Amino acid sequence: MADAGITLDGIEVAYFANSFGGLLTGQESIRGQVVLHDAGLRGIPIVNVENACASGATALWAAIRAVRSEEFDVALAVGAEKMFVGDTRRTLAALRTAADVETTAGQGLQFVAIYAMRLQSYLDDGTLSPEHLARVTTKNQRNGALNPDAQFREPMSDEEVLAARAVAGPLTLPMVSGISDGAAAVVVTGQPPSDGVAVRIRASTLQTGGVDGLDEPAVGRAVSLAYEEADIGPEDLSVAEVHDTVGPAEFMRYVELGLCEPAEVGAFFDSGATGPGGRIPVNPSGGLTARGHPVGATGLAQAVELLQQLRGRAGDRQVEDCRIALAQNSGGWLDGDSAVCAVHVFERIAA
Amino acid sequence: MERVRVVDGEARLVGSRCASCGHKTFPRRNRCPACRAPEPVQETMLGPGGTVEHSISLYVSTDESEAPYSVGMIRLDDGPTVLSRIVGGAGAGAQVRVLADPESDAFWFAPAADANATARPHAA
Repeated sequence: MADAGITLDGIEVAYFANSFGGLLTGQESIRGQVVLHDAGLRGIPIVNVENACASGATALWAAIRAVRSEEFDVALAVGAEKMFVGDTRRTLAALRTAADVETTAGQGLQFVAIYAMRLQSYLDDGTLSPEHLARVTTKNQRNGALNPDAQFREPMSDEEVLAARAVAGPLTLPMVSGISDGAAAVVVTGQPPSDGVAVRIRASTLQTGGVDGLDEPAVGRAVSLAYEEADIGPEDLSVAEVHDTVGPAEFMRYVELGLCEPAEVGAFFDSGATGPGGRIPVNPSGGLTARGHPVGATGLAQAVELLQQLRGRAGDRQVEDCRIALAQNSGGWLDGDSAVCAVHVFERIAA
Repeated sequence: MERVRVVDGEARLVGSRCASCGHKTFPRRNRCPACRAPEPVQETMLGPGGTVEHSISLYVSTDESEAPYSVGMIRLDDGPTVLSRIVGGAGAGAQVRVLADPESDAFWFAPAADANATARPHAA
């Protein structure tokens, strides 16, 4: 509220994102009402949003539409997740439910397995080396160390990452997003502040995963539609926050965002393009592995990072000359595709 | 949902086949996702054979899977791709066949050449 320069009374509608509160705390049905009542919101419409790891960006997507429709002037998108419940197996079991459980029951940690298989094929064809998997992880750890809101703030060496406990195939524990408690919120309004720097929403897209491999994957579709809506291309981006459930998934995002060709992801990363001071810094917040992955809050945490970057308030991790920013938030697993993907493009505008 | 059935002593996956376009799915669906024909699809038995496209070892136990274990993407000889546990060591390119326990509706794959392989993956 302080950052938006408004009070709680200025909020006209709220979208509350959470994914696992029911399974992990037992709170079902009215999670947003319970949480926001406690925060002091009274009486206004509150809509509960659940869309796996993309719940946060989905709440933002809905809040943007509330304002775009002109029915509301000020909408709140807020996401929160409580994943530490004293039993890691219970949390992992909850994460496993973000799939068609009838199809996937009994087949293990399929999310991590799928990312590991895709990255293994990059290793097999020589596109990436094991060191790449470590170096993208430590790049994001160093970013996270500069982010006061990050969960993990102590960078490791590449050697330490490679030598850490194996999780799946070539992936070690530091390469995989951990268990997080966290929250993030964004206020959307049609009335930009009269002073200072405002941020305009240039694109807001939400797509659902393809069935049986018949359609283009959801992430690619959501990205293409966002570029179209914003009337920009990947070359126009100043910075991006991408959904790296496992840190090295960032390499797949480079391709999906059109930043480089599939065969060039290793060389593209090696050029430093996505690191601090590079052509397009990616995950300056630290990404999911360092900033943390409180599932329902993640998409909004990405947006918060980009809003800070665009307004020049990102402190030691500030991206220079930051004008256009993209957030990609995906979640769930359905028939060989991400079940959900939301993409937002933000632009800095002078007041 | 019934995912597996034993037919003539052999495990099969319960899928569907579109009468209009022939598209096959696993699991069984009510409508064809490919051509969306109005007629209901037909139940069909898939497998037992398939080829491993990707496989990976997992080293973290969950509530239902005791580590280490293997998971793979298997392209069934009938067409559809299935994500499944794999026992007995079968990397990319390996021929595998489905095994099942209809009572618990569980299925997994094992090397096709290992005619005696029946051990189900170790559950937690």
